[in-house]
Amino acid sequence: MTHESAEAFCAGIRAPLVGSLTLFCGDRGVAEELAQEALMRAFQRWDALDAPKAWTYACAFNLARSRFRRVVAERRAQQRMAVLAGDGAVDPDTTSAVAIRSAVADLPTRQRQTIICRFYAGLSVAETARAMGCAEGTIKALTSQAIANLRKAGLDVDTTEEIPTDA
Amino acid sequence: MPDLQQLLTDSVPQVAPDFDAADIRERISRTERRRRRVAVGTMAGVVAVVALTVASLQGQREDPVDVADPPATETDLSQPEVEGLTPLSQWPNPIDFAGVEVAVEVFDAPNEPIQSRVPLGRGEAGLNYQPSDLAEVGNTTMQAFINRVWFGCGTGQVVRMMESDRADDAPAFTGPGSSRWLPAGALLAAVEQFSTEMGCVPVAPAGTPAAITHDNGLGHELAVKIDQAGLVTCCADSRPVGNSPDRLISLDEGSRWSVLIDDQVLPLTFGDRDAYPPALESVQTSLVADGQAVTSPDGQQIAVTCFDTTTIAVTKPSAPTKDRFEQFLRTIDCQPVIPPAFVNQVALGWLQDSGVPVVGEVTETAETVSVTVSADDSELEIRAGRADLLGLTTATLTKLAETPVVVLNPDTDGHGAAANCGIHFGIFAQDEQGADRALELADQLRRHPGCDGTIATPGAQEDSGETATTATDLIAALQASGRDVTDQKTNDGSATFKFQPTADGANPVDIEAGAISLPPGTVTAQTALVRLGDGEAAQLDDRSLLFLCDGLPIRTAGVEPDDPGLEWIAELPAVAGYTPRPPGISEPVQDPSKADEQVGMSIREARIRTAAEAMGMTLCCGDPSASPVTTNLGFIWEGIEVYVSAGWPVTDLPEYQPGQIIPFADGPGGPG
Repeated sequence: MTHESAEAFCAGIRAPLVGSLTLFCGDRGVAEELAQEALMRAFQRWDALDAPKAWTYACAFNLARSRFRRVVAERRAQQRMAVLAGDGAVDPDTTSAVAIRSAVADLPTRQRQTIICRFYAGLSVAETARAMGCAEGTIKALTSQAIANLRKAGLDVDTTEEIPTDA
Repeated sequence: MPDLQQLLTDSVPQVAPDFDAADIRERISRTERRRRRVAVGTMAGVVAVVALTVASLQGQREDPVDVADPPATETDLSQPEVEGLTPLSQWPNPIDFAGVEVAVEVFDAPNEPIQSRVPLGRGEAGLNYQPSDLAEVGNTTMQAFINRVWFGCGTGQVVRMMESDRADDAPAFTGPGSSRWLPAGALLAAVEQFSTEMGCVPVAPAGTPAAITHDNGLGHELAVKIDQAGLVTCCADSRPVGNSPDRLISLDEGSRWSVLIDDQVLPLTFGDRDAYPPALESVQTSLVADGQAVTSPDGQQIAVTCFDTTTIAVTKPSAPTKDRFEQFLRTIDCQPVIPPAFVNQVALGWLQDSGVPVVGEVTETAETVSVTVSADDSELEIRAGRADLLGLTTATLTKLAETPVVVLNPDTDGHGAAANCGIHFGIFAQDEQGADRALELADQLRRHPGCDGTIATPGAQEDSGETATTATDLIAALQASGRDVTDQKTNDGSATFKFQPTADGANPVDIEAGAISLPPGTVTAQTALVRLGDGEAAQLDDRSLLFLCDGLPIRTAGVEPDDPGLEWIAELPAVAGYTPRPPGISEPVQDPSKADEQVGMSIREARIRTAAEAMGMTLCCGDPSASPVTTNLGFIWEGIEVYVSAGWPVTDLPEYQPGQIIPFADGPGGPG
C-alpha cells in the first residue's frame, strides 16, 4: 500500500473510529487520543497490514481496554481539551441519545464492541471477527445477544439486521 | 421501528476530529525521536524527573527537534528531553494509576533490600516484598505482602513506586476484605506505564537478585497470579503463608492454605502434577470455570490443573464453596484442565462408559495410555493423553484444536479418527472399514458428559465470548419479576424448581435448568419443534419441552400440544426476558462443505439439509444463518441457486396454501 493510501485511510476512518471509541469508552476526548494512538501504530506498520481497517479497530479497542493507558490518555486529553474548550465540540445529548449510549455502555465488553463495529463503524462480519480475533459465527452470536440486551434495556430497535449474513 | 445503525449514529454523530494524518505523522516523529535518544543512552525520563524536581532546571524545556537531527550527544545530559511528556513536577503526587494512588520517588540507589527480579513487557524491575503483620480473622491467620518496585529509567538514579499514604507499620488487615496492600501486579503495570511515558526501558537496579530460581518450580506461577490478582492469602492452621528469597509467596506442596473470595475463606491445597488428594483415585469429571475438573465419587473433593504444572484441589465442594472455587480460578485467569495425573484414568473411564470392550493389555506412560478395543468386527488401537504424544501429524493436531472430531488422513496418520475432549484421543484402525467405526467411537467419546457435559447448542463449537446465563440468573430474574419459585434444589450448576405462572388456574410448572445430560440421539433432526412464546422449543419423545434461554438449557415437564400448560411454560422465558430457542442436535451431521469436519447444527437446519439432499440439492452459497426461529440455507439445485428460508414468520412471501403448486423458473416448484 502506498503512502497516499494511508493518508486517505486516515481521512476516511478517523470520524467513525473516534465515534466508535466514544461509544465504547464514553469520553470523546479519550476516544480521540486512543484513535490517534491506534492510527499511529497502523501508520508505522502500514505496508505490512493486509486489512488496515480491522487492524486499526482491533488496536484501538485494545488500547481502550487498558485502564492504565486510558488514565494517561485522559490526562493528555484534559490538557488538550482545555485548550479546545468551546471549540465547537458536538454534544448530541438529547434524552434518546443519552439513553442509547447508556444502553450500549451497559453491554458486556465484547457485545458492546461487536455492536459498535457492526452497526456504527460499518465493519462487515468478517472484518469485525478479525478485529475481535474470533470466528464469524461468534460475531453473529454476540450480535444477537447484544441486540437482545439492548431490547431488554428498553431500546426499540429494528430486527432486520439482527443476524447479519454477509459472511 | 428505528434502525439500530441510525440510533447509534444519532447518539454519537460521526464528526471528524481535529487531528488528521499530518498529526499522526508528527506523533510518530516524536516517538521516534524519543526512542532514538534512549537508544544511544544519553537521556531518559528519570533525568527529567530528577532535573525537574530541582528548581534550577525547571523550565528548561527543549524545543522539539527534527527527525533529521543528528544523534544526540553527551551534551544532551544537561538538557533534559521532556518533549512530549508531562513533567513529573507538574503531575500530582501521589500519582493516580487507575484509581490507585502510587508514590513515585527517585533515589541514587535502592535503600532497602530487593528480593526479586520481575520481567516486564519491556525491561524488568526489582521487587521488594515484605510480609505484613499477621491479622487474626476468626480462627485464621491472615497475611499479605507490602510491595515496592524499583527500577532504573536510563540514568544512574532509580525510581521507587509503592502504594502511597500508608505507613510502613500499618496493619494490612483489620478483617476479611479490609484494607490490603496494592498487589505487585498493579505496581508493575504502573511501572510499564510510567516507563512508556518517560520513554525508557526499565531496568532492575544493580544488586537485584538474578532471575528467580526455584528448587522445584512448584507454585510460583500460581503465587504470582494470586499476588497480581490482589487476593489475600492465609493459612488454615494458623501458620502464615511465608515468603522465601526466591518466591513472592511460598506455597508448600501439600500444605493447606486459603484465599479470601468475597470475604469468605476458601481452603485449598496444591501440588505438582504427581501430587493429588488420594481420595481422588477414583474420579469423575465435571465442568468447572469454563474448564474441566475431576471430582471424587463422593463429590467431596475436586481438583484441577492450572498453568501446566500446578494442581489445585478443594475439599468438600458444597455449592457455595464450588462457586467460590470457580471465582478463584477465573480471578487468577486459570482455565482448568484435568490434572495430568488423572488423565489416563479418566480416558480409560470414558472408554469403559462407551461400552467398547478392551482387548489386550493397557499400556501407560506418565502422559498417555494405549489400549486396543474390539468394535464390531474391527480392532481399534486407542491412544489417549497428551496430544503431541499420540502419533498424529501436526496438520491433524491443528485441525483437532479447532474441531472436536476429525477423520485422520489415511496417507499421513493412517486410518481412523481423533477426538478432542480436553483429553485427546487418537483412534487408529487397520483399514477403511475400521475407520468408520473409529469415527463413530470418536463421536461417542465427544458426547460423553465429561467431554462437553451438556446438550449441544447451535454453533456450539464457537466461543460466544460471553458468560452464559446460569440457573441462578434465571431464578433471580423470575423472582425479580415477582414470580413464585418454590422447591428449589441446586446442584453443580444446575437447578430444579417449580415456577408458578400467573394465568388463572395455572399449576406450578416443574423446571430443570443448567447442565442437562441427555442420551445421545435424544435430539435429532426429527425432533418436534413447538412454538413457545416468541420463540420455540424442542418437544422430546416424553412430551417434555427443551429449550435454551441465552445458552442455558431448560427442560420442563411433559405437555400436550393443546394443553394450556404450554402457555404457562411460555411465561417463564417471557418473564425472565429471553427468547426461547431449541437446542442443537446432539448427533453431529456431516457438512459436505467442510470435508471431514463434523459440525453441530440446529434441528431446523438438519431437517432442511436432509430434505434438500434427498432432492439432490447441494449446500452452497455462504454460511447458514439463523435467528431463534428461522434458518436460511443456500443450495445448488440443478445448476440454480436456491435459498431456503424456513421457520416462522417467513416474511415477504405470498400466502400460499398447503399443497398449492407454485410456478417457479421454468417449471412447477414444490408445495408452498
